[in-house]
Amino acid sequence: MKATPRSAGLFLASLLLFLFSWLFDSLPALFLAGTAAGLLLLCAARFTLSIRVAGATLHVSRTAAPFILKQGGLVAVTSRVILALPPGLSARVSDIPPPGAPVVKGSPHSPLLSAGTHEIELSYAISCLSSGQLSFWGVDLTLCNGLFSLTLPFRGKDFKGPTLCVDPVGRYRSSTGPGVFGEREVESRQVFRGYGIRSFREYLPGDDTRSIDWKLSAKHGKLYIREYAGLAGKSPLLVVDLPDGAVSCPENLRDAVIGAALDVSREMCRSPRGCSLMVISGANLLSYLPDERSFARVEKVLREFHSPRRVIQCYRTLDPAIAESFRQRIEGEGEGDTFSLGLREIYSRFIPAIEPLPFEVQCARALSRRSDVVLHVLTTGTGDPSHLVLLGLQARRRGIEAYLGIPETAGTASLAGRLTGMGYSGVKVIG
Amino acid sequence: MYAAITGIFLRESPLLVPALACGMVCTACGLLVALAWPDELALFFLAQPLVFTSWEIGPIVSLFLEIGVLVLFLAAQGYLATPGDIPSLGFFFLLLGGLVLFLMTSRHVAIPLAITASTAGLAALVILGIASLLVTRVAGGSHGETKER
Repeated sequence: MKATPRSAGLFLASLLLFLFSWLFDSLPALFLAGTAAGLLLLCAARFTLSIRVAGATLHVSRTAAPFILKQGGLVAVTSRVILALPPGLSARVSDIPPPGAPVVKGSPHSPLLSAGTHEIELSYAISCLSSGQLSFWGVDLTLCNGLFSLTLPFRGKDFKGPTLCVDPVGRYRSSTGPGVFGEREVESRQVFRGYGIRSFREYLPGDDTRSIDWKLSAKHGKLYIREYAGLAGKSPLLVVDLPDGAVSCPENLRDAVIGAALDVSREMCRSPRGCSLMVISGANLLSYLPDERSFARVEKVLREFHSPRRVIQCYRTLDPAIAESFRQRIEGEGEGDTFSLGLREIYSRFIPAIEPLPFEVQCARALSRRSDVVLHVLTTGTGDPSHLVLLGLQARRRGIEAYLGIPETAGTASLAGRLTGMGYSGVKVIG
Repeated sequence: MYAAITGIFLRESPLLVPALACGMVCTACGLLVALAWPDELALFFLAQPLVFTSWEIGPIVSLFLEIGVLVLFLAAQGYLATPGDIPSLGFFFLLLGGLVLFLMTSRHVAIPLAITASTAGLAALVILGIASLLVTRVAGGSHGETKER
């Protein structure tokens, strides 16, 4: 409970009168001091009872549109507030937007309301700078009379809705063509069913009648058909590698990867081939959606595994082929050296015992599903990259092109250097 | 009005002149406040010297004057808008009466001062505790939400 200047004045007067009565042994001063103190307490007690009554009448109904949006997007919020105030009390209602979502238009505060029943509407717009599931903080009801003021924070879950789903922003694009993964329009003898028109020619028997351009045919008095250009390229398999939820990882890296994955998969879902998505966390396959057409399902998977817990942890996991190459290199280099001999012995004993990880088997199955696959791996680039190496090697063994997408701030150069020669054709930066 | 009442009761006392002077000053100040910047609390404060001087006539007179001032002040604050306020106000006036009776039987302020101050402190703690509980456990109200895509 906060005191206003008036109640502070009353308190001070009471205190001074108490002091006066004590110093001068004055009974009337003590009577006045007691009266002032009693009046202050009476007003405080009545104010406490009044705010209880007013708080119980508060009803808030909030509408937010859109509630699924991209990071930085605007949300129009309308809150309808119903409040009944007892006599002698005035109030101000403040709607508290979610954290990281500043108000950019309008005001979330109501004007000062006097006693009586009120039905008001607060209309404002917020810009969602944070990503993820954003809930409103609640409602603040500031009540005051002439002597006191108090803010009641309504923070219950009933006052936090609706929850806004803000997708992080990320972009993973190839600069070689207009398609999501660099597909280009090509001219070919093969019949394409695309959107671009390459040329027009006269109709020949056997041509598809659906290709006839009726406008051109009417103009020239002869039948003309359209020759289409279409998108040609391999079927992309998008692999999203999310960092371990138990290990701290900068949120902007995680958001950049998920944002890029959402951006790419949104367009892939619209394409005739759909979106083939694999969500992994280290050497753990979390979800695999082959040729998925529903973006909602893709979005759900990416949200569900936002902060996964890794069951299998890899650390400098070796592929048998790489281990064998290491062993051969040692054989050639350190003749007579006891350390090299010991290491060679260790390699010789361990290489036959190396079993493929379940992750490798799963990757092999996913990659061998189609012959014309191109692999795109989006990763934060944090932690041990063994699983990325295993994935890259699996792709290389099947002659599959593989690309890596890493956020700009994740030390792209060093990771790219480490993964060079591990099956990845190139490293792209997620913007 | 209070100055006139004080004057009537103190007509044969040496305190008549100071009491009348005090009454006139307070009345002038009260008029000034009421006309220039009306504030109930300021008027309440301006009435206090008269209540103080009327104690010389008799504590009961002083009590009734104070009750009159309080009723006017609280009515101006909107505290007597509902019939539910009257019992609490009656209880408060009874407490004031008790305080006056206690002061009438006391020769020095030490004991009444200690009792009054400690009682007021305890009451303040109780009220602040209730207010704090209200803030931490806000349970009132209801909420509805609508989503629009």
